[in-house]
Amino acid sequence: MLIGSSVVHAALTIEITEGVSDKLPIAIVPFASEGADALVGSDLTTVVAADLFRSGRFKVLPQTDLVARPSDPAKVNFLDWRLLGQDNLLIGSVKATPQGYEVRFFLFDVLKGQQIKAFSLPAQPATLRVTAHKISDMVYEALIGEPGAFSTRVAYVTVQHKAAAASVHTLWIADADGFGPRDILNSPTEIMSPAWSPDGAKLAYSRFENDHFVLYVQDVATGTREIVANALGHNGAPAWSPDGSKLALAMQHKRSPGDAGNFDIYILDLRSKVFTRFTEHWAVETHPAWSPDGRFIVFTSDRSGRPQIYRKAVAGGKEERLTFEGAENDRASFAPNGKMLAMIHANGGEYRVAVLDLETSQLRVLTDSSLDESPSFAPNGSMIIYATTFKNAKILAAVSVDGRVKQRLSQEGRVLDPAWSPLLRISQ
Amino acid sequence: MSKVKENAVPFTLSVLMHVAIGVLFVASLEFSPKTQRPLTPEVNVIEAVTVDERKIQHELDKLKKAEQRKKDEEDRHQRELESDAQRAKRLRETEEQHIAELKKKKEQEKQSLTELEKKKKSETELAVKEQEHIKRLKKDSEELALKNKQEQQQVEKLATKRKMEEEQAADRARQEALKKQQERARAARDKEATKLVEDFTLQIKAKIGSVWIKPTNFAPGSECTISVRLIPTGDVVTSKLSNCSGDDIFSRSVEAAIQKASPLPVPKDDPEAFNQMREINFVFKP
Repeated sequence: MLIGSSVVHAALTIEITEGVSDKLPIAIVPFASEGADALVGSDLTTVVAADLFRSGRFKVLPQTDLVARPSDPAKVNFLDWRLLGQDNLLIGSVKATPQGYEVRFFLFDVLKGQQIKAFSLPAQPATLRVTAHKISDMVYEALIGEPGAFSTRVAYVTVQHKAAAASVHTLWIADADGFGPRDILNSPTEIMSPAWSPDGAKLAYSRFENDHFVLYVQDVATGTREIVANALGHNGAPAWSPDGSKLALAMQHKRSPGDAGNFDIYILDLRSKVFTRFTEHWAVETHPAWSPDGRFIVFTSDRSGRPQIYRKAVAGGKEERLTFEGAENDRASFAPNGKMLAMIHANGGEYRVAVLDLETSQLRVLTDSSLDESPSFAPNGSMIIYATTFKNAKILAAVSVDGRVKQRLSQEGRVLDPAWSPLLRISQ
Repeated sequence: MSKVKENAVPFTLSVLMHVAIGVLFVASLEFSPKTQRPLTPEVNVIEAVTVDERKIQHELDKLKKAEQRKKDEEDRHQRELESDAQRAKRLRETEEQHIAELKKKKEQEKQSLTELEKKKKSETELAVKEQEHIKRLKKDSEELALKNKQEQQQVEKLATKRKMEEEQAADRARQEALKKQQERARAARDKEATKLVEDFTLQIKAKIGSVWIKPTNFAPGSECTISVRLIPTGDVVTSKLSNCSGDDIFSRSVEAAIQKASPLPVPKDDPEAFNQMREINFVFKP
């Protein structure tokens, strides 16, 4: 007699193709201070938590919800954190040493009860933020699988109107979170469009001198600068080639001071100082951006009547219009993977940050503000920094690529033209 | 009747004797020897001896007187005789006829008797035959009865057998029906279990899909299989990664998804359905 119930079932196979693009839950326990100021550890972790939060990829457990504050891996009770719905846990300590501090941290996979990463790094009181960003980068890379962009910087310009006097234009470099700004150029005249060289060592920008904008390249570390383009008319909107040997720029190409000229894209070979005309059109062509693979340059042209984004192979060929949605699209910036463009998308009088997926041609507006300007991708592609107007102030803001996390990076004065640096190897 | 027939011969003989004696007596008294007509000589001789002398004288006188009378008488007697003869003759004839008739009758009787006997015999034979027949019939009947009985028995036996067979068949049919019913029930259960498994598969898929934080930048074609064992509460008791082409982050996300989805929705009231879900291979294939 057969007994049906004794049939052994083969394992069921279930295919999982869908997931969520949720933020990763992480609990960050303020690092314990050992022989150091009690606040050192918590200050450090506050920076890390803010970094991870700002990336849009993490859901950081509020400090008030922490059930325990272990600093020793042996004292971690994973079940506690699991019950809190945490996937990951970061603990650590800051220990005073004769040389400064020794910062140790441990990153755990709470669900598996396993250590993912543990690291010890020396630190100095003055550069604790840098150490914090480094930790953020390591945590980010361990959990997200791509380099963190927290140890990067942003360059931007501010305009301050001093009483009765001429306004002051300053070119700044700050940490990616907006902290630690350092001015690298002060000018009574406008500074525009700073652009990081691919190695992060130089900035190209244009500055108004006499009657026109002149293009400079400045060494960030030393402050030495040189004019690379000073043709009649406009020399602006520089974009570095991925190998750093060339600059694409918008030039007015005036034959004489009285000539109205016409904006076109030129390519400047920085070694030979040779300019090559890239576009030849009666319309205005400006705001070039070089694709990360170096093969294409996208730019803005108003040949259709309003500014739209076009693309042309560096090797030459057809100019292809990429944007069709909205009244205007301008100031394209390539994502590091080359698959997306960030831009300012104008529609109904609102200027907002949008991303265009180059594979699907899907345009997605990320912000809900109305006067956004100059979007720039973080070097890991996770965020976009831009300038916007908030309560009548021009400020710096950042939005995660999925549009879910926006953060204002408060700065003094009117902020213009932010540019996110490449991944940097910042020394202590 | 038969007695009469049996005594017919002696009776006839005695009748004849009396008649003869009567005749002689008459003759000896009336006639001289010379006139004696030898009717029956022996009888006359004997009669003559018996008559004495005186009587003869007397007789002679008488004879003389009587001669006339006798003569008259004789005449009359002659006439009577003649008529007697005639009568005798007739009688004889009648008797002969009678005898013949008797004879004939006797013959007839005999024949009849023979026939009767024959008949009787045949009747007897018939009776015997009949008896035999009856006997035979009886025997036949008995045999028939026996046969009938046997047949009856056979029939009964057959009936019993048939009944038994029918019962067995009915039993078998019942069992078959029961088996079929059980099979149907089982099929229904299986179907239900399958449906449950399908339902819960969808629920599991949905639950895991809702907790699986898909890495943002996994390599295209990344795929991980994770084999899990469940207990009836749906809790994942063991999970094992295999065939994982994704990186650490991908595989960790897969493990985390399983952990977070546990307990998985499983049919709690249907052990059969649960059995089909006790072991699940999840293929994470975004």
